[in-house]
Amino acid sequence: MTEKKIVLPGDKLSTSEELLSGDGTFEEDGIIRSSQVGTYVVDNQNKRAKVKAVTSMPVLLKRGDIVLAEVRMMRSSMIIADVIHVIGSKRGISGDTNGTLRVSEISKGYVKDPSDAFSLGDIFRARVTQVKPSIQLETKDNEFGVIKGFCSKCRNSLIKKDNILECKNCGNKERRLTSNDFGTFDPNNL
Amino acid sequence: MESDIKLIDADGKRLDGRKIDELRKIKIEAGVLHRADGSCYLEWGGNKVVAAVYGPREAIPRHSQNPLKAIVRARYNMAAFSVEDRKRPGPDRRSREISKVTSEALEKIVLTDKFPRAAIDVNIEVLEAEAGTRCAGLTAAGVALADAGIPMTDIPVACAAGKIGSNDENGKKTGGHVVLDLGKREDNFGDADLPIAISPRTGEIILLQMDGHLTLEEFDQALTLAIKGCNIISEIQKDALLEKYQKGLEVD
Repeated sequence: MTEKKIVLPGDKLSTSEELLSGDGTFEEDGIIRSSQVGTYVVDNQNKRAKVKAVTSMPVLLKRGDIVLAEVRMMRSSMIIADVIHVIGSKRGISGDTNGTLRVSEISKGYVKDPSDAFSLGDIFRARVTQVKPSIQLETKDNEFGVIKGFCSKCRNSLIKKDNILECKNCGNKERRLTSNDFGTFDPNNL
Repeated sequence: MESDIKLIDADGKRLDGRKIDELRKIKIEAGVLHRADGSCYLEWGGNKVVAAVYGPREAIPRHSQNPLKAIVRARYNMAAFSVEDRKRPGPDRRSREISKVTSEALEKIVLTDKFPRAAIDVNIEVLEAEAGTRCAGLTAAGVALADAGIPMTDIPVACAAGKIGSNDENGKKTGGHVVLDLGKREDNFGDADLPIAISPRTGEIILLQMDGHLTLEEFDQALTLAIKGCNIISEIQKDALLEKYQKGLEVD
């Protein structure tokens, strides 16, 4: 296998007559240069010069990302949540993290009120359906939904019993849209 | 009095045996901290510096955000045990100034418009100090930023030049010498110190400070010398990054 050469920030890759500036590159005075430590790749189909980073990269949300989010606000027609982690990444999120989850995107069935499925402070898994102009989430699948819930009376964590959630402290029973791995999720093993 | 110390001898040899245009020994290692997004450990003569980069992440407090670009927040800190007499911990006038000038230098070379409203935190921790820590810190920060995958136009590098030996051991005035990379005693008892940081590809100066007095000719001489030093260190920085990442590529 041929040894790939690493380019460093500022290294000249190509010219703007030849190619377009793609990911990991920038253009300066008609010259395309690397902005990252990585390997130089030419995307011949789109005529783009790219640098495939060998370092870890800042995490930006994309459409289709599976994320963990925390419920910050409950409205009658939507939930406002803070995206806290992108599954499969090891870094925090760069950029906006304020997501919204509309009632119609909660479940394949009909949900009248978001408070039937979520409660304030819950951690849930969701998919990103839109990033610009605002982050939109959906939870229409078995793997999506609450992975950790908290009792609305005493804030202790809820335990799944049959199809209902029960507070281990006060015995309060609550209903949530749970993911298929509710309660078994280990945050140390992201 | 110790200020009459002879900093340079007749052959042009300095206290530690270096020549006029010789740097101290530099060792750079990229990616040393596991919890940081990017990091670097640097030894420069008797200086030992760790730099860690976090982010880009949401800038807090929110009024510090810029809706068009990211802000770079460098924090230079000297450990209490970094100098001979214990340094009172926490930010002081000096470290706040250095934090400010390094932030501004780094902001020049980071492509900040890719991360609006975000902050890139660069923590520079001086573990052992022996003159020239701001240059060492900025040089380490440059490598740490590259290690964190933050888009940049170049890897910034810093180096100092200065003037020593205009007082001989009898306290008589002589011409003095413009030298590269001042050591601790040269910094304390020398006549001037000129730390600069450049973008080595373009030669653009991103930081320039001066302590002491230099004539216009001496200044030009010192600036040329410092830029020469920067270019040497720039190669060491690049080698450190290649060393870390070339290995990973050969495996697959």
